Amino acid sequence: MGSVEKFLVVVESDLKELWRSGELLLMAALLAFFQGLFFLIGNLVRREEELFAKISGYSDSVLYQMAGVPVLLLSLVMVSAVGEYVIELGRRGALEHIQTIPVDAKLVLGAHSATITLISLLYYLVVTVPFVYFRGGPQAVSHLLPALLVLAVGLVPLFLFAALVAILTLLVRTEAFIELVSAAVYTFTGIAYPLTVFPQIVVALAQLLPHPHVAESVRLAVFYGVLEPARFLPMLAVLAGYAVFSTVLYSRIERTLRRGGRYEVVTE
Amino acid sequence: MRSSPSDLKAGLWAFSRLLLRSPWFAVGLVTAPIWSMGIGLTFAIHAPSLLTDQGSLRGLSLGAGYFVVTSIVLWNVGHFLRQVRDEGVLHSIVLAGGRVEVLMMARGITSLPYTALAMALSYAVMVTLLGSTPSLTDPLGAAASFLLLHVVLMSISLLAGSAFLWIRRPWIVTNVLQFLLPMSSGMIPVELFPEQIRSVIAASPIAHVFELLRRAVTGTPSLPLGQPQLVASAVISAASLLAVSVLAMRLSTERLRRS
Repeated sequence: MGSVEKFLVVVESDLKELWRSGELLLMAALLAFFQGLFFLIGNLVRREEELFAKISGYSDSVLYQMAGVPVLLLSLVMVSAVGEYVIELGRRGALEHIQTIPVDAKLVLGAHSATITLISLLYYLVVTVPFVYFRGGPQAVSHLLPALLVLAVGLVPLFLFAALVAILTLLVRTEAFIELVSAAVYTFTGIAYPLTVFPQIVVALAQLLPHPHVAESVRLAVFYGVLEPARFLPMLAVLAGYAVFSTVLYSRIERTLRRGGRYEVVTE
Repeated sequence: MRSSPSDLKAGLWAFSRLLLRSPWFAVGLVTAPIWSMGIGLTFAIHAPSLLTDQGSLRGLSLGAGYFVVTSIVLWNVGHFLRQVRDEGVLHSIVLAGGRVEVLMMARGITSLPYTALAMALSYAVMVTLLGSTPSLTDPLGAAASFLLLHVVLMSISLLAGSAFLWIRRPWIVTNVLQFLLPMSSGMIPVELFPEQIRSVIAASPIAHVFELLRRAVTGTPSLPLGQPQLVASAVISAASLLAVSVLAMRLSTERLRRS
């Protein structure tokens, strides 16, 4: 079986497993609930758009959140789903068994990434279109096409981040680590609100993660409908650097775990 | 059948040890201020002047802490009964004549120091990091009203926990509830809402419990209610919710015993 066939087999198996679990639709409903809740609150509360524009550079705080929050939620879902999947495999003793199978782990990881990217793009479209339409009209909806292109590229490092968190969880041996990462990603990546509200050191640290770059590029596309080379190219450079860094780190941690046989024990 | 005080004592002892040994306790205390800051800023960003006004920032930070505490109690207490059932322990407890509602109360009481610490940390860290100083106007009042708030949240978690035995995916309900409950009862500063929404929040008995805490901590009222009326409403709400939740837990475990 060639590499492409192997890749497609993994994608097909992922899709079947997701469909069988019945959680595909539930997850879409939950994402739509959160997006709808943020939309409702944003529309109900007293807004100070001028002040918001000063600290964010954008004119509409609700559209700002509608464009960025799904990226944040998808990233959190990835972190928790990939983490729990790996932990569950570890508890059943399956991870150690998988290591003995002669397959290309990077190909499998790539195929998982492709499936999750595909589903995430679909989720983004479903939960964003109605709210962007209500807030920005048909023109803003047409901007979602370039936004999806940006997101398709940006989701890869977000998946790599989730895989890195999963393997780090095996290393630190506690599931609570996922919760810690999720909280930090939600709060310190400046997706639901601009990072400028924080001290400069927090802003600098947040820029090391892929999330702020992905969200900012998606937001620019939703607001202005263009892939600005001045923003898009640096984002690509940061994301490529992050992809290399996380792959190297992933391989090293994975080797440490394999040598120590530390796949199976993760405390709840 | 064993006595309730003995069940309660055993539960308190066991759950305290479990809580202190679990990595979730330490991690929870670190993540509580982080989550509360994130959630608080998500809503405050529509009106950024809230972040520069000291009184508003304190109210906002306390509201964000309220969200975190609600989440902790719902996950920690609400999901516990189902977890015990899935592990096969509930069956043994029921067969041995153990009082499940007493065990669950013990779980709720044990989480009180945890939620109090989480609330205090969330409030203090958020206020400080955003450039102000935390204040505590009436420490005794704050302790008493936090106790009432904890009783309310514990009762709602016991009610949810009874239902979770029969629901296929309780995590969805908890995810929804942990946002809807604090948001409909004063988590977001009420001055941001139009008059109609303010009157709905002012009518919520759960909002009265949180308003008591807000007044004790910040010294500023945000609902148009006198203090005696607020105290009466908060105490009656907490007591009646607790009674209903214990009854629901009894009925639910009785149904479980029969089935």
